[in-house]
Amino acid sequence: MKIKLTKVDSLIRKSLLFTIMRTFIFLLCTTVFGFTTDKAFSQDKVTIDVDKVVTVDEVFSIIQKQTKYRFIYPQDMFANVPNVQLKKGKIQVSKLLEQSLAGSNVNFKLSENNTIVIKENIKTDTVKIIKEQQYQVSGTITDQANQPLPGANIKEKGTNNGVQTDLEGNFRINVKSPNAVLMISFLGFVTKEIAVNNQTSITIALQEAPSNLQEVVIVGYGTQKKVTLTGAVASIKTQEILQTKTANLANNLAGRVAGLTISSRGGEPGGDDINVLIRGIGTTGDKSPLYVIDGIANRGSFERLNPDDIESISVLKDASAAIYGAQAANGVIIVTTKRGKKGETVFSFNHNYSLAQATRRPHLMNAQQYLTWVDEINTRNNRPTEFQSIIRQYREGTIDSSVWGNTDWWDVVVDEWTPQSQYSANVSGGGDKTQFYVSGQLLNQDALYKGDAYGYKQYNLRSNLDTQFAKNLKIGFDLAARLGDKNSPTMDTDGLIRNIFSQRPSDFPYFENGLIAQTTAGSPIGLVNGDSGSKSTNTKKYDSKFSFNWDMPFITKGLFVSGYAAIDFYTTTRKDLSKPYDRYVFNPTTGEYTNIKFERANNISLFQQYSEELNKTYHFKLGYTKTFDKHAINSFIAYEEYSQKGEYIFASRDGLVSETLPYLNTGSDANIRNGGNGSQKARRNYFGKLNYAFDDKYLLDITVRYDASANFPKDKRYGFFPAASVGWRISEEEFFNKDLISELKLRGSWGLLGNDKVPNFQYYDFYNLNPSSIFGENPSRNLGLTPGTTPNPNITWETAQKINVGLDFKLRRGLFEGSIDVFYEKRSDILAPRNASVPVYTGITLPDENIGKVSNQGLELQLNHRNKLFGEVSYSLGGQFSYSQSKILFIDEAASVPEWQKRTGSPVDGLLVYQANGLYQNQSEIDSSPHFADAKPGDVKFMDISGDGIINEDDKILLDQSPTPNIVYGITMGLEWKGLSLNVLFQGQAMAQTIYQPYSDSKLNIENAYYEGRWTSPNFTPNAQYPRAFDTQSSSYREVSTIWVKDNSFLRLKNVELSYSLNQDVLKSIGLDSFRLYIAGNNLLLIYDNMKINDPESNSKLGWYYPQQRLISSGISLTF
Amino acid sequence: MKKLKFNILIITLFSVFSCADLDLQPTEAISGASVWKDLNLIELYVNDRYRELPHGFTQYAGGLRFTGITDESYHMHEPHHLDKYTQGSLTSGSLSNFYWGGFWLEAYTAIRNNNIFLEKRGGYTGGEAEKNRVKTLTAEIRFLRAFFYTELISRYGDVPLIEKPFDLNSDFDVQRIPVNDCVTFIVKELDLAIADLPNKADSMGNNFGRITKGAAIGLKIRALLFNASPLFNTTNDNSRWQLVSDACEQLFALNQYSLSSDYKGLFLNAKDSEVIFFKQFMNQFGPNNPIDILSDFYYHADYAGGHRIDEWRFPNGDGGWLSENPRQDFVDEYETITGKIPVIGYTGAVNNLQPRLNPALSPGEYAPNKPYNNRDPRLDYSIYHDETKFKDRSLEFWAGGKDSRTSVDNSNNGSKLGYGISKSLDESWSTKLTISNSKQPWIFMRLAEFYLTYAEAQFQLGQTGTAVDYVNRIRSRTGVNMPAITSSGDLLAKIKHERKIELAFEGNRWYDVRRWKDAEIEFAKDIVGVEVIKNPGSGVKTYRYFYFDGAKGKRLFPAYQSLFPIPIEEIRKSDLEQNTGYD
Repeated sequence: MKIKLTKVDSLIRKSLLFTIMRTFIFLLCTTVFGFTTDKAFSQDKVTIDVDKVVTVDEVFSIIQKQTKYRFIYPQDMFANVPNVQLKKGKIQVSKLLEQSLAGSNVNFKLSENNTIVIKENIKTDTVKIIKEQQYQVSGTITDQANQPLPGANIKEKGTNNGVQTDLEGNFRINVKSPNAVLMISFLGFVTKEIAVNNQTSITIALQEAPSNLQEVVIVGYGTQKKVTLTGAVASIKTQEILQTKTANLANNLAGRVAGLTISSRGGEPGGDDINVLIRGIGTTGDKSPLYVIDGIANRGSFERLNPDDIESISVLKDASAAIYGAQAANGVIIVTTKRGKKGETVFSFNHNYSLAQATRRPHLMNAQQYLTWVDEINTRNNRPTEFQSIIRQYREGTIDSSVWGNTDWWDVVVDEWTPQSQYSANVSGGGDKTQFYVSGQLLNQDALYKGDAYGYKQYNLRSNLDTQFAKNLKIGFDLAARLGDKNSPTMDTDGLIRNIFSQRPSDFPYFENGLIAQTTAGSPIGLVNGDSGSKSTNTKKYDSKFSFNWDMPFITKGLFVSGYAAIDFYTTTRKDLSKPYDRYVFNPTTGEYTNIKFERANNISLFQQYSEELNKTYHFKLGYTKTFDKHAINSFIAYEEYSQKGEYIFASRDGLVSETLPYLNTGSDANIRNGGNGSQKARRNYFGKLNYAFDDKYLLDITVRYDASANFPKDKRYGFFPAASVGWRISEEEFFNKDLISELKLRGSWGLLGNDKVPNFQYYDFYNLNPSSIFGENPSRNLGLTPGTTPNPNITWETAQKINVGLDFKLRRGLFEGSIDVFYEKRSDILAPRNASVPVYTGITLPDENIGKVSNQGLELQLNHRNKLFGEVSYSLGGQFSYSQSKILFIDEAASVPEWQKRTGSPVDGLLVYQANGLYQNQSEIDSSPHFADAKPGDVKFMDISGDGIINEDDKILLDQSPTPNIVYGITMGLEWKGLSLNVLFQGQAMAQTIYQPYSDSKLNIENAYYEGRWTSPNFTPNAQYPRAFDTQSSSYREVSTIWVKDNSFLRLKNVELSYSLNQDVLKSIGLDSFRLYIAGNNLLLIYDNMKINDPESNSKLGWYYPQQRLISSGISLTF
Repeated sequence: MKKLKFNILIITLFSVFSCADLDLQPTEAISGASVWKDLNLIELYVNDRYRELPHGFTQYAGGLRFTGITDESYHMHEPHHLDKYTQGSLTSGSLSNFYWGGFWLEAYTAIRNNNIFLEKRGGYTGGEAEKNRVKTLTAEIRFLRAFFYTELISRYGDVPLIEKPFDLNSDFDVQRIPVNDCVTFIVKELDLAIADLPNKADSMGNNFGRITKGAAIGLKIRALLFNASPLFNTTNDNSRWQLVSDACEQLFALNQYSLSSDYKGLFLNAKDSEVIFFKQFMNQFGPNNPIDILSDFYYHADYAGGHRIDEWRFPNGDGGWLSENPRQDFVDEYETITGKIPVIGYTGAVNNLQPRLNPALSPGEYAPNKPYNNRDPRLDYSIYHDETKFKDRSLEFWAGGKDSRTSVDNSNNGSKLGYGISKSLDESWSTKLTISNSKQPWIFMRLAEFYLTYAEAQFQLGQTGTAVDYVNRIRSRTGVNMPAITSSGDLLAKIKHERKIELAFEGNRWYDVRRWKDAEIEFAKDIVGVEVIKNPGSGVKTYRYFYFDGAKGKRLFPAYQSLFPIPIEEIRKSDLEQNTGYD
């Protein structure tokens, strides 16, 4: 570590600072500036007998007294140098000297006879510098077309002295000498150095940076310069990821990458339910993309990575993913983590603290509304009403509020704000031979329930090491460990939220004496305050990777062999302890409170589970990279294999002796359960790549992959996945005029990809062992054998054929850059069981068969604009838009499905519902149309689509949209001024639909929006949005119709980050390289949506789910 | 030095590398090839087929014997599923509805698994003893397959008769086979099985619970009874009743069974002399999937060992759910100890009905303010009500009482009709037990059913004397001691009534009423409930009777609902014809 001292103008402040620093330094014994002398000199010591403050001259005399050294220097040389504080003890002569002289710019030399000559350094006097900065230079900065560049930076090299050009591109700067060197930089242009050479007026034309020529993008098994990229690959930079402070990395990508659909379905800590799709839906089978982390496919839990560790994320959207073969059809997300770089050791630290709350909390009916609703159900079902007088008393305010409450149970159970904190630190650096990156992260998320009994904690550790092992051989060793500790209530989340819904608002949570009251539906308080036990899931992941890269110039230059072995070991332990908890019943006769905790004696139960998984990936690659004349070749062939072994055991007991001994051995013998099983996976792959560029103008990329997956039988196991892409950088052609457009590239790709994400062994004839029937006069349970899935000996992967055409462009000066992609994809051999056409009476448990066909097409747009305003303010604007539309070309369907329910020709996941045609206003409307037997005025009116005069399953229709949006878009804005920067992200989606249907069985509360919007009579509510009060017996509820289908379009202010970075001067004075303070918000505001009840990203039909979270964060990050 | 380091490195690298084996084996399964060569494994395969037998203690399709859709009881926790049926609006249904469609799937899956055994068992070679064992196992499988076909015809009428397992490339086209042909097949199969099955006495010890001769004959009687009954016997072919009668005599001739002297206790005791066929449970095994232990919807889970009938049926005052509420109009059917039905209907306001007492009652024979006194003892054996002695207390159904819907605790589970089912309830169960599962057996068949079947067949064959004799054997046995019936008047109605009372809540009612073609009337009757009102001062109780849901005419049963619709998915996938009424 190195502490930098900065010169301060005021001499008093300077000496004060120096005195302090010296004392500090003495204690630390740290080098301030180095000087080399012989060994003896540095080892001789002097003794200081008592703490004292002395002049520098006195220091020399102390040394001269105690050693053989003598000093020669001009008198008064140290007159203006502050005194030195000496601490009692022994100190090396060299140290003492170093520190005493730290405040002065001197040069010293040990000559013969142990004489030390001290001379003053020439150019170190600050006063002198100021005097010398009198040479004035003025000029104009333009681009190649002689257009002035306002806001360009001009800096004197080697100093902090700098100015910016004005609106006409002019500048004026004072430099210290006519020989000074100016550095001119401007966004989007190549930085230029100009020697002043005694000129006073200079006009400088900057060269446009050829689209950050050196910018590289991670692609499958390698990197590629962005300008020569021919596939549809989106990449996202670490700075962008870090703008969002959510605990889930997938969340941080939302709205930032064209072609990526990120739908947050819920926000439970440690279990955030986030759906990631690349280019929408292309199959009826498994739709999840392949994650590749540091080159290892299927390395799990991408979303749990420490965001600070991310170097880059690439999304392979088209045939560029084909190099991942049989697993690539749904696209690939490649993540690379940071590695050390040669040079100074950098330490960085990050901390943020956030408060979270539901983006939309449920607003349930209040007591009066609830009782009204219940009685309206009674009326609908011809039952006597129960609460008319109570309702009237509520309305009139005469209700006995000691008996009838009005409780908002959400408020009782849920905190308004929930804290979340994150700390991360990393150190990176290295010398010529070895580089390192070491990091740690701590995340602590509280769950939304009152109190802090439940939540999620995560610890991430990573160490990435690289070393030049031998002349041409580099090896790397990476280790990453993650501990995830999820602690949740004994009742599952949906059940717990349902429990809130099931409370009667007229019930009280507590008695006046503070005891928890048992409610009609069972008090939820004990379920969230930790009393009832917990389900704790502990995940440990250890990833290791050993890699090498051996250049073989002795054979031919550009030839190399590389490889890696990755051993990943995962374990999950789960411990569910459930125990009786307090809630009281009041007996008005006796005046006693009884704790019904004891109603069930000794039912403390414990369930434990352990699973582990060992994943091994081996990879070998022979590569050749060469550039000669205008040809550039980048190629390799590789072999890779993967195997996985897993095991799982569980055990449980009831009747534990005490909740303080949550171990199986304290449980009763009576109800012991245990079990376990194992799993295996394997694949073997051969692949290669040839990337050829002529003159960086004509680009060609060919990949092939030959894959074997153990999911399929021997003769169906190997598949061939070729892909090719071409690119033409039109802007590099002679004829192309670069005045307006500096970069224009047309590219196209085609490839075959596979999807093998199905249960394995479906080709195998097997019988499962399971606990089965009970026989015997003393009954005992016997093992049984159940036939497995009927084998399909022909099973193999589904195949995707993908075509992509894209255009990348960049306007002059980088003002605009962007890309357009259009794609078409056709899946065939989609794996699905023939459940729709094979009759159930066959009794067959159908295996997946390669039968489906789906097409998917769409387009993506990405556009960015960057510029500067008033010379000082730089801003950026960006937008991305994606549209995709799937269509089933063939799906297994029953022959006699009505035409309007045929899935063939429809989007993949359309909803099948009845078509509602408003509500019945009166009995004669019911009598004159086909209806369900229970229909009453105010109920949903169903359309008789089949026209056969009755309403039945045939009348359902297939909707075009689903919870997966066809359109997603994002808009980013950035603003930077001096140390302040503001980043804003808007995110939206369109063309999505979801069924939201409250469950009302006259015991459960529902959102009051349904109450407010209900039908009550043809006179008052002829245009009601929702049917009259209903319960589960009502066909309005029972038969799902379009009345419950909601449009999920929305536009939201997804993320805002406002940060302030200290400027360099201040940083130097406190010894830091950077220091940033920020506040940020996520999911801040819904600007537009139709849903109005739940968050529009949710797809929970009943609304019983852990809501999406809004985050307000603040934090610091610093490096030194 | 460098070179050496380098070589070591390369050697190390290659030594960790071994070719991934792609020929993996399932880790928790046994290959088909080995199963059929090993008698132990074959035995395990047969064991597992027993698991597929449905039972009456689950609430969905597999639990075939639910009472909540008959005139016996009202299931207050499942009306949203059951109303579709009880209110006459059952539509072509769906497999995903486990009440109406689910059994089709479960039955044909089991039939396929039985067919696999019958196809593969031929490949087994072994000694004489082993071959004999296979013979017995084959008989068990034949029984199980016949059981599912009997259940299928009783629900759907004509059904596809599948005797061989399909594979993926088979032609799946089949036709619905007339009930009569299905019954011929069932009887033929059972006759084969009966020959190879042991008697009850020879099937004790570890084999207790496996299928016996008696069970196979009982199943044959049931299949023949369906075929002889009006629903399927459209030509009124009396020879079908002769077959029923013969089969009953075949059963009685085994001399293995006798009527129980403990009507209440027999449902907790599979070893009772009357029990013919049953399914056993063990309470220490809970739901199959341990992950679901804490799930809220666990009552729909499949149980691998125990069931939860006690929790579901226990009075709410003891922590039960009281799911199934016997109806007042059903309670009224229990005779007085002198053999008269006390209440024959109601008049008055829907919420305050007046019972119409049987004019034939002698004075004091039935006291409206003591409605449960002097009644057929089987009322208290089968139904609990206000003042029933339960565990160590007297039940409190009166408004505000511990077991009412206005109780202090657990009031949501208070009975809506004023009754609970006590038949087959294990009173030793308690919420304070560590194990909340229950273990009483589900009794599929007991001798009394076949006495009544025999009586019905004898009546149809004109042998009224034998018919009366067999009914009276049931009425006169120890612990019941009801007066004898005579052959005067409507004897068939008396036989039907006896069957209704004797076999209440055992699941037979739903089958019987449909086969008699009485469902249109019986299942459309209005539900009557009772509210017990206790005068807080005097402690005197009065009884308010009411039509449930505040109205008459809530229940409707179109004749076509006597048969279930074939699930719509199945109709669309095949050439099968839908049952009448569901098009």
